[in-house]
Amino acid sequence: MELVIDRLSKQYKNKIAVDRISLQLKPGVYGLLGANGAGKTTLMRMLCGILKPTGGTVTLNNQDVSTEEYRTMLGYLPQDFGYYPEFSGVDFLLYMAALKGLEKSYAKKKIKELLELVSLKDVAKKKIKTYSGGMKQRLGIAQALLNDPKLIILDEPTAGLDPKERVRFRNLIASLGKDNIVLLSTHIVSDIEHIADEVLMMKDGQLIYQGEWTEDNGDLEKFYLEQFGEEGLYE
Amino acid sequence: MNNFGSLYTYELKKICKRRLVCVTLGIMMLMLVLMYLVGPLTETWTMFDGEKDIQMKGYEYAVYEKEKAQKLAGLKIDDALLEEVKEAYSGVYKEHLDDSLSVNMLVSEATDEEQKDFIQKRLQYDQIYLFVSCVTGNYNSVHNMTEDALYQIRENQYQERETGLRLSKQEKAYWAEQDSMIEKPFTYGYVGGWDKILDEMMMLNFMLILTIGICLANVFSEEHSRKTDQLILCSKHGKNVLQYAKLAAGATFGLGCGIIFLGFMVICALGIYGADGFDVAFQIAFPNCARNMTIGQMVLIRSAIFLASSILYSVIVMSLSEILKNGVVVMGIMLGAVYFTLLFNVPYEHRAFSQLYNLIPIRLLSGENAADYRLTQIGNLFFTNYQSGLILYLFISLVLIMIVNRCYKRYQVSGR
Repeated sequence: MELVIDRLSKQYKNKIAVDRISLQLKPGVYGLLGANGAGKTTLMRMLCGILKPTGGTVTLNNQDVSTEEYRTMLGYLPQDFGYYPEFSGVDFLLYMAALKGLEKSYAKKKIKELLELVSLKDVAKKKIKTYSGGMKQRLGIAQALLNDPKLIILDEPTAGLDPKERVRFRNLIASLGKDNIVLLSTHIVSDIEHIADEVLMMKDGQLIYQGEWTEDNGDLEKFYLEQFGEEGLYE
Repeated sequence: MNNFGSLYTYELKKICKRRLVCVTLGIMMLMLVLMYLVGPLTETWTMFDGEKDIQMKGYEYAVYEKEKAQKLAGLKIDDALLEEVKEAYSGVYKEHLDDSLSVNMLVSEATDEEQKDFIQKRLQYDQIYLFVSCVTGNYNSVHNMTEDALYQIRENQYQERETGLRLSKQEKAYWAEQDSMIEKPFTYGYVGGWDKILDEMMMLNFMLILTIGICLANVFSEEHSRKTDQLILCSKHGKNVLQYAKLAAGATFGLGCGIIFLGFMVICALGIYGADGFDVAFQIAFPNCARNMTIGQMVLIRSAIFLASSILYSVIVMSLSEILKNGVVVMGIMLGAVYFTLLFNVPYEHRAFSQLYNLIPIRLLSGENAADYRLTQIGNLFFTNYQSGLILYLFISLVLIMIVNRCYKRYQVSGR
């Protein structure tokens, strides 16, 4: 399984949000770092097929990003995702399962598993509007995993989670990364240090660093701040 | 497996679970109850029976009118009946028959005994008296009316209408043939319930537009405002099946509202005013119309227009919701469009525009549109305004669905 990103670009009127990024990703966890406006979310949206690139291509196992087959293999958790307040957690997941083309009986079984995994089993039948921020985020994670995706794109997945949940979530991502491609963006450098097999760093729409990060490379956070000209912040 | 059924069910659930929808439907149902049930049943009517004023509640009055009219049911409106009406309406005032004094003025000059005799006789025939007045447009015309004159006046009236509408020779020939097939003299029948239904359809359609405009304005736009579009569009069926499931759910909701509104009004109208006269000629309610049909057939045709309009409005509202991505703007547009169509008329001089404009459902359902004789010609086929309306609604709906499809598939999640 391989995700191939070839000279992917997105240009708005006066700004190049993503500038000719080329990548070949195999199963593993990829941590995407970058300051606000670096182009992380734009890149992720293009990888999810919800934003059309100005140039370049994205394929997963030779399936173009615009195809239904590609979307069948995709799981996406947006940075700021919406929900239907009058729906219960289960209803929301059943709806997402229908959208993802899952058969109802399989969906019910899968939802049960996922609700347990994200610790929402007890509140599954409560309306989403009664959920806390962290619960909503966990529900978002559950929907991303409904279709057993081969490509999992997570935009700021740990935002809103408490430290205990974050650790649980890191472990979950690490296990998912064994067989699947997991691309996650976050501002929390320690999350990436702990679970990412490879670090991708973006600045002004370009990929400025790609590779594994080991202890020999030094402190990732320090390196990150140096790249963005914020050395003074790191004492 | 495209899960259309499941998605359709969830979309319907999404529409029905919204608080705004519940509140709007609640208010509309309350209005329907007040307008078509409480109002007609509780209003008080005062009748002078020749001796004293009698006060009747709405339902009693409806029964009284119905029973009175039922006595005339089955009678042909011919010279014999017109003579009876003339006799009843002249009473002791034969010497005044040629005067232009109105019946009410004549009554005010009579003695009490004369008044009683006159009113009791008059009340038996007032439905025929009203029918003749309606044909001629003159409340005193019954006094010197004959069968030939009555039907000649009626024919002149609809021919005048044809000239006003600038009909072509072919159109005139079409309606002349239609009119020739109507059995004359007309046979009177009580049509109170059906007539009430026809009278109320325009108002009911106004309520339907408001309901659909409010309830469906957010079907597509809420996905963008709630930011759920990101999840939807990257899912397997989010880019294709879902849009049709949404449209189908919205159209079902609109049609459901149409059926409930119309059903409630029909039940109330027939319950209060009676269901007699389904097979009576439409001309008993609308004398100068050249359409060869019964009032029951006209009710069915307009009901079909009404229900088709509920689907059309739903598709229009949902299309605007996707195109504009703002529910409040959609509601504003729908409200503005309703007032515009109610207040603005296109003169008959601009035939094509005027003809098209009168096919807007709320206008097509108005009583006067029964006398819009302009036909739409396609090849050798002629379509009446009701037929053209239904075809046009289907065509507009299909075009809008294609536009929605294009907008929906082209949408890009950017910004934020």
